[in-house]
Amino acid sequence: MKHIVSLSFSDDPKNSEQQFDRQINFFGETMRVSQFCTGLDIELTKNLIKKFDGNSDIICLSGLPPKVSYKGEEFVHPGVSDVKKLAKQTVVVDGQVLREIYLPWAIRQHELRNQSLFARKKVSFYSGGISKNLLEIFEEFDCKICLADPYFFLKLPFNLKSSQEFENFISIASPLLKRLPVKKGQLADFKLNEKKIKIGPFGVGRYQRNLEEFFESDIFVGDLSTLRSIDLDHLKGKTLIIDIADEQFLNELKNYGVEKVLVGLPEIHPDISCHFALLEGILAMKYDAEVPLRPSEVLNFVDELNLKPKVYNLNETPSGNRAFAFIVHPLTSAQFFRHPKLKWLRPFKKNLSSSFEDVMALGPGFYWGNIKGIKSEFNGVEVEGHIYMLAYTPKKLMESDPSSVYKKLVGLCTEAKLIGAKIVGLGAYTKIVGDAGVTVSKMSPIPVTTGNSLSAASTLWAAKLAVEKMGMVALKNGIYQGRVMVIGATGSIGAVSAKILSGLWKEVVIVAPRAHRLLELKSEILKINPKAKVLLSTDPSKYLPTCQLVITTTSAKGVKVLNMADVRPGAVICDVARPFDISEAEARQRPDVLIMASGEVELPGPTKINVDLALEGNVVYACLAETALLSMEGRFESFTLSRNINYQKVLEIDQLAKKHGVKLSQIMGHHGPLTEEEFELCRSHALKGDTPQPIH
Amino acid sequence: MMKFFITGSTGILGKRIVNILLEAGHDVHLLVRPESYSVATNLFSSPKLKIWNGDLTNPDIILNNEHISKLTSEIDVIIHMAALYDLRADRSSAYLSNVVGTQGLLYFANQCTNLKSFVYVSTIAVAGDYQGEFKESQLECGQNFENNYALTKYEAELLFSSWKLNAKKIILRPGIVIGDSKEGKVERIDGPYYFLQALAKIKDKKFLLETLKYLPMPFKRGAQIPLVPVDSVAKAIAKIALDPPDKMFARYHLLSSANATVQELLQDSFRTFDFKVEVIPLPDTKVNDLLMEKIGLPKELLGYLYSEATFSNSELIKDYPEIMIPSYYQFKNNFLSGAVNHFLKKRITAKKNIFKTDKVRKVAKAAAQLLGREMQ
Repeated sequence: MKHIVSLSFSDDPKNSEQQFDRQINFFGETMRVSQFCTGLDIELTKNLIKKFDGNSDIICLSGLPPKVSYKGEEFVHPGVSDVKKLAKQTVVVDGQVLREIYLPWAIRQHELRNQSLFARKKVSFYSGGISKNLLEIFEEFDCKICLADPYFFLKLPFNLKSSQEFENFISIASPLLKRLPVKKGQLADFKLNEKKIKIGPFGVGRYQRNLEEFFESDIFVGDLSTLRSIDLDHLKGKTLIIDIADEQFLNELKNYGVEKVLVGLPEIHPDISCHFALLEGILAMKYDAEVPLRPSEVLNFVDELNLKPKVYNLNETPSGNRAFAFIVHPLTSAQFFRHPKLKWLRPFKKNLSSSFEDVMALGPGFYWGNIKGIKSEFNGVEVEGHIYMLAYTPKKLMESDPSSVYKKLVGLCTEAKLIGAKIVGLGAYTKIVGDAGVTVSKMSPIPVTTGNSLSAASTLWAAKLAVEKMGMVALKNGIYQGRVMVIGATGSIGAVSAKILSGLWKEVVIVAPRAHRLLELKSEILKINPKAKVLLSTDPSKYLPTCQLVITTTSAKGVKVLNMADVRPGAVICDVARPFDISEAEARQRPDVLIMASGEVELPGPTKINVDLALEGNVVYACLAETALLSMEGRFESFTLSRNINYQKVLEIDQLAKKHGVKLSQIMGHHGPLTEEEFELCRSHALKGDTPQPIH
Repeated sequence: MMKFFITGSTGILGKRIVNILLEAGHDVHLLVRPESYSVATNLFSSPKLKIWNGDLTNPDIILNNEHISKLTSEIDVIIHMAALYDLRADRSSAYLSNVVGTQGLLYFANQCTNLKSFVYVSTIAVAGDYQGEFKESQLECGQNFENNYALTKYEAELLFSSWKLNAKKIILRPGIVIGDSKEGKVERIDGPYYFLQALAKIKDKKFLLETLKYLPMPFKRGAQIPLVPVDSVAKAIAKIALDPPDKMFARYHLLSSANATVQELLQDSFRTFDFKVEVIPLPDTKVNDLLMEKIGLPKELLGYLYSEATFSNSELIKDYPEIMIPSYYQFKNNFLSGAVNHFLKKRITAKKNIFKTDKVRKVAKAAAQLLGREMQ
């Protein structure tokens, strides 16, 4: 049996859970793993290496300070290089290769999967030297970096702000760092001195300005050995990114009130908590690989073992802390006069409106009102929404230079952050300006979402309800025994609709001008729903007479999308495009066809909106509801950005809506909500069965 | 008949236990280091005995382990007594022997398929600088340690306590082991014997101490020193190993409920060597380190002299009322006379220059001056 000796430099021997000697089955091979904790004692570590040199198969050393590369040079603590050279017969591994390759990869993957969880956040590193590989990744994410290296190693009262500054610091400080002994109590403890001291004649302050600045961040990056030896009070309510963690330490973090922990290396074996050195040892033994492992091998292993980081939500954010903001703008200039403070101007509305439009567009936007009493049905979390108004009418918005609009939107985001909002939703036309939220989200201090995922989901809910109300198609085993058509299926909303509907309808017709894109989409749909029946067409007219539901998403701007005469009586046309695909004249041709535009939703709880959103009662825009949902779930991230929406995200927001109790409330037609009478009328026309006469 | 596997069998406790078990007719397997092999063969002779060469700190604790699978399937009880008992040991060697060694044996115990119980002989030194009554159920209470022996024994006990083992785990913590309660023979110079040895050296320098009425010594008034004679501890360990308690995890203090205080011990020791001086306590300061060095005692002993812990043995009395550990007052005469015989006899043969007379004279003089001033 192969024998792996693991020496954990940073664990204290008193932590007896970390000291073990077991036969463990790793990926089908039984090995003996003996781990000893040396409690930052370099002499003891050396003696143990000498002891096991020659009578074990591999020695894994963890928790020693890593080597740091800077400006083409490498800094290795002399005490550490001594240790690794000691063994004459047995190979010694320290897991650094594995750690350097795996960790940045894992964090990047996590960020990509969860769309900008970290992007543009404030990120503090206890030591850029120890987490150098992650530092580069976070700079790529455009984060505001704060490195405590000067304080960490030398207790100097300043922080570094970029990897460039870090390299300068290391190259200056390396002769000094080399002389520091590696031992307990040498490094800083990150404890904030509560005592205020007098600073000159100007008053009192705390001594450790650098720490105060350091503690301001939302995300902290460190390694287990560092975190074990420092004060953790400042982590309350924050997110921590850590290389490895055992259960005991996670419990400790939970007690300290840490909100979220992202652990780089997942649990490899239920019995032991694995660290990078041990994993490298195990991999080397299992695959008989040469050590140190080569980068290409590491990637193979990572792939084969399906390693990925794990997120632990240790403490939910307290409910009072979950506010969101939503930015709207007046749809017409008349809406300005709905503001309570401008009520008195209403009699002069007609004369003032055009000049008002120009004047208001000069302003920065303002706080309009709030929504209170939104309460999740799932976890009872109450959230509050703050509504801001950007005083641009749609016309003004489209005319203005996008960058000036971005600036104002970011200004509102910053203001929203000051009153405690953690996420901002972009309403109406503000989300279609320029690149649809991408730039705003980059510049905003808090995450931004367009809310389009829930808009798409709610439109599909509405279409489903409309089809049910029309009652023209049978439902069997949860599947409509009819045909649905998606026009403009290869666009982002079209594709998502087609994918979702393919699971709900017997047959899906996808229509788009380019046939090759249709084939691609078909194969994607079949991947998701292998049983789906997908029909392709470049022209709607062939299948139109047989479809009970038609979704149009083309935004063809005046070009005729479909011939109304071909539409099946009693069908529902869901017009998702803005501007609409179906003109008013076309709609009037067919009173027996129901034309709807979207679905608006209701928030859970006794909501109270103190502003007029141009919707009835407690009904809100779906995009606002998405922002509220993300707050209820505590997922403060830029969920939906840009014009493209994503199938997974729509499914996800759909589930979140069900979980927290956001419901469809109204089916919206071209001119406001559709009433029961309108449905009844449309249905009766369809049931008459005679050839419809156009109404003029 | 049971099969025992014993480490530390060549120590003063070990050899007594092995003999008790052999006399009772049990099979005994000993693990000894190659260099102690001849010691072990000289100490014991019985057909029931098997000696294995090995080292607890090696990954495989038994050398030439061809028959190991037979051995591991047969062992009923493991008694682990091997330890580096040296208050002045450095951290590495203490850790290697006491922690790595224990871990190696625990791994071995995991391979023993029929193991019923594992008796681990610890020490009351795991209490460290704990203040108050240290109960048998206690271990982790934030104590600090004066020496690496106590620290590594504590770490090993933590390791043993949390180890997953399909057998009864029994931790025994004897007090400070001294010689036989009847013969009083000195077998190993440690603990109180250091002090007695120092006294023996200045026996004929009596005139120095006769001028003094009081002598300040580094100790704390009321500090207890739980001395236990080796024969009674050996009997207790053998008894518990042969008749383990009805629980999967047990801890016992092997000591008497009536322990001597350090003051009593020092006073009795002075009397034994015919010094009439009365000892008075010095406060616990760094100066004591220097003083101990001058007297010729290891400064690691200071932990015992200023100990604020008392030890309860209620679990032992509850589970094993028949085990008798004599109190200090029962064995003190034999103990002290044994020491006098040992050290004075030895002194005659020893060279005269061992004792640095002038240094002690200086210390005594200084102490006398200091005290004279205070008394006035």
